[in-house]
Amino acid sequence: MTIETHAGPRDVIDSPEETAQLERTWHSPGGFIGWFTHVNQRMIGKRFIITAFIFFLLAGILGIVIRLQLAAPEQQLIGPELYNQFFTMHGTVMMFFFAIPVMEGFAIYFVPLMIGTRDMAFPRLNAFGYYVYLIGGIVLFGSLLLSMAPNAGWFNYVPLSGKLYSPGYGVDVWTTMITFIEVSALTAAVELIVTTLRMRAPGMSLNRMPLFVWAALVMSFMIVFAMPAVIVSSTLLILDRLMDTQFFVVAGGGEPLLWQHLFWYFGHPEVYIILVPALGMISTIIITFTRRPIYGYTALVLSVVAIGFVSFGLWVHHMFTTGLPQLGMSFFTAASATIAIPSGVQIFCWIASLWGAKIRFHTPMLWVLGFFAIFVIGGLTGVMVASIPFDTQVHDTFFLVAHFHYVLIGGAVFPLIGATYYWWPKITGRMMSEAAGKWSFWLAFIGFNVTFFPMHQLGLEGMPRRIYTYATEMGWGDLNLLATIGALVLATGFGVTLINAIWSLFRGQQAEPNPWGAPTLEWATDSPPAFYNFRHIPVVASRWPLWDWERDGERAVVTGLRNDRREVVLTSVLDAKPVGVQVLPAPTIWPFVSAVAASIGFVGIIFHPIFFVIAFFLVFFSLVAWFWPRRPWRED
Amino acid sequence: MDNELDKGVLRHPLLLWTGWLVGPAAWALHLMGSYLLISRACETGAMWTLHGMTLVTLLMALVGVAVAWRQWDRAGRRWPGSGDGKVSRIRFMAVMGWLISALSALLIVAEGVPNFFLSPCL
Ligand code: HEM
Ligand SMILES: [Cu+2]
Repeated sequence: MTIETHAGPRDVIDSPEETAQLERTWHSPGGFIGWFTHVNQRMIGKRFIITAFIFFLLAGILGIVIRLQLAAPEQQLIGPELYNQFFTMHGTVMMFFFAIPVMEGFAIYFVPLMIGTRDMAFPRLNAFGYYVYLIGGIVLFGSLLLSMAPNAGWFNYVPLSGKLYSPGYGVDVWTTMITFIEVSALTAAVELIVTTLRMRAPGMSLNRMPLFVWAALVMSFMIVFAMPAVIVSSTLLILDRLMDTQFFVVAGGGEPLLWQHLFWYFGHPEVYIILVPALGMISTIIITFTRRPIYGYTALVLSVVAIGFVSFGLWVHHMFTTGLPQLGMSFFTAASATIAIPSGVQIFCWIASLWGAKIRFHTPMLWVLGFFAIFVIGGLTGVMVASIPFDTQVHDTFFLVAHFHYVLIGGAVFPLIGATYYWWPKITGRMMSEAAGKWSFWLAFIGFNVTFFPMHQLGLEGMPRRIYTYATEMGWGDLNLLATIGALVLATGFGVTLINAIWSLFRGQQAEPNPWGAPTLEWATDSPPAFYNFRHIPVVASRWPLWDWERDGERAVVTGLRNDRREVVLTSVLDAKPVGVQVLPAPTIWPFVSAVAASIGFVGIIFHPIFFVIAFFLVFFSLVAWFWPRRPWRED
Repeated sequence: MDNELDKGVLRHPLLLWTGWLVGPAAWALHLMGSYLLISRACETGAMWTLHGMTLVTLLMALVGVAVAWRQWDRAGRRWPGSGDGKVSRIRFMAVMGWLISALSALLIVAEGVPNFFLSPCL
């Protein structure tokens, strides 16, 4: 392995035979069976993204149905029982099956490209995580079709979700599917951490890492620290429900508040798990569309890291109305208020970056500006509900629904759609239509505010959340109708993007390698990249490698990796000095088989304990096959 | 040259993580410790345990600040850029370190203040 410098943007040293061999080595097999064997990080990342957006669509439809039901007083479109299932499914799917996986998907797809490597550290584990996620989502929606869907809200509080008040399979399905998604998230997180810390292109020391990679790294650490809490709590609950343990049952000496602590110890960071990668996307887009280095790189990294750890000290603010000691709660108010500091630093750096810059108002930038408008309102109402007296007033009303949609849609979905427009050419090789993108943005922006702004007022007037209808005399009808109309406009806005995306696949303009003139490595290869991502692993000397290369007219690359097996460069944690070569495994069906085997166990155990035994053996055999030692003479 | 530079600034590159870790650890300790001590403080009326907790963890976070600040000092106390190779990376880690620890110290103070005003028994 050596490092060489070349003039010109494209590589000149390759013979076509070598390139063809490299292509064969990294190729993902075609065909139906072949599809289940893919392990390349870009295949898996793309699947995560597409699957997550399908869940977004489904959960969005549920949201629209909820809005239709609430459009006028005393409607009977869906009854109370179905309404409970719908808002539970809407919340659960949006939070667990859309927001987290879509962020993981973008990270899995783009982190390796941005740090200049060919795949992730554990490609097969990646595939396993995807199948677990896919199966979990399908089973969850299947339960809705069978009217077995969970109905105790997205945070599934005990005692409501205990056996006494929720007989039937709904809550069992919830706890099990949550475990699925947690397992999948943990595999992705471990994967991302190791890849980011050990596989960066030579020269990319920590202080040169792209901001989105920092965000993905922080997200991954947060997943690792937060997710176990909810795995524990849902396991305890399933034990309560299936084995008659008494962890949460007061009569048996259990403690219902334990559920709330465990859930929100995960649940609050989860909101930031969704937000942090979105912050990374915003920085990335701002850099490209102002065409100059971001203001305050160190401050931005600091605030992302700070948000990451401070978010673990806020969870009790979801429990202000549970009668905990006041002094104890005040600690969490202090932390809730302090997190405004890093968030403020973040916003300040962005404004400073935009100030006086020649901003190019392409669609991705528009969504980012939309984020600013919406997120500021969401932040303001957030500060309001962080105050205990105010929270006591609006707790469990539509004010809260308004607040968290402002934060979640404004803070995560808007940047996400912006990032989709931004990276679309890299993923598909086609540009989406700018005109349709702008229509989509304005429809969504207006529709969003018309939907959710009136909900603040409804909440202050006392309209509780999670009610399937309300009496005419309450006088909530007009604002609710307005909100429903807004929701339809919002949905139309997202729909335009969907159509734009599909249309571009057939008619979109061909994308060049770097259509936006961006500075980071994912744009240093073809659009879409070949299976091996980079013909040669790049070497970087600053935060903005592509701009350097443009200026200097030359670039350094790593040469000497073998073409006949999947080799990647390992580098040191702080400085990204090359320290070795790692050989990655080839495509295989076993991660898929293991995921199916594990699912049989998890799902079956809801119905009969024997499935535990069956799945134990199935998983054992599939893991043996998965880890069967690779014979040395094959060296693949 | 690289190794000499490291020697001049720190004993071991891993120490660069001190500020990153000590501050948040102190803060987590403060949050959990104080939360646990409340019911005790209510029974015995001994508020000093809570204040003690704040003081000890605050000192711990400040140690984090100090260590990282010293690293920064030795690496030239300039704001980290993206060029300059290794010095720049040391500055980056050190600056991040002391800022993280400082933020943790601020959190500890913010959480310690209510101890003077609220009764633990409410
Ligand atoms: C398509 C646009 C959306 C519409 C029209 C919509 C509508 C609603 C409505 C009306 C409720 C309140 C139901 C009730 O309490 O009675 C609700 C709850 C909720 N929504 Fe949305 N929503 C949308 C998008 C999202 C997104 C993108 C997320 C998250 C990323 C999300 C997360 C939630 C959560 C967590 C709840 C609480 C569920 C519960 O009470 O357990 N929503 N949504
Ligand atoms: Cu929270």
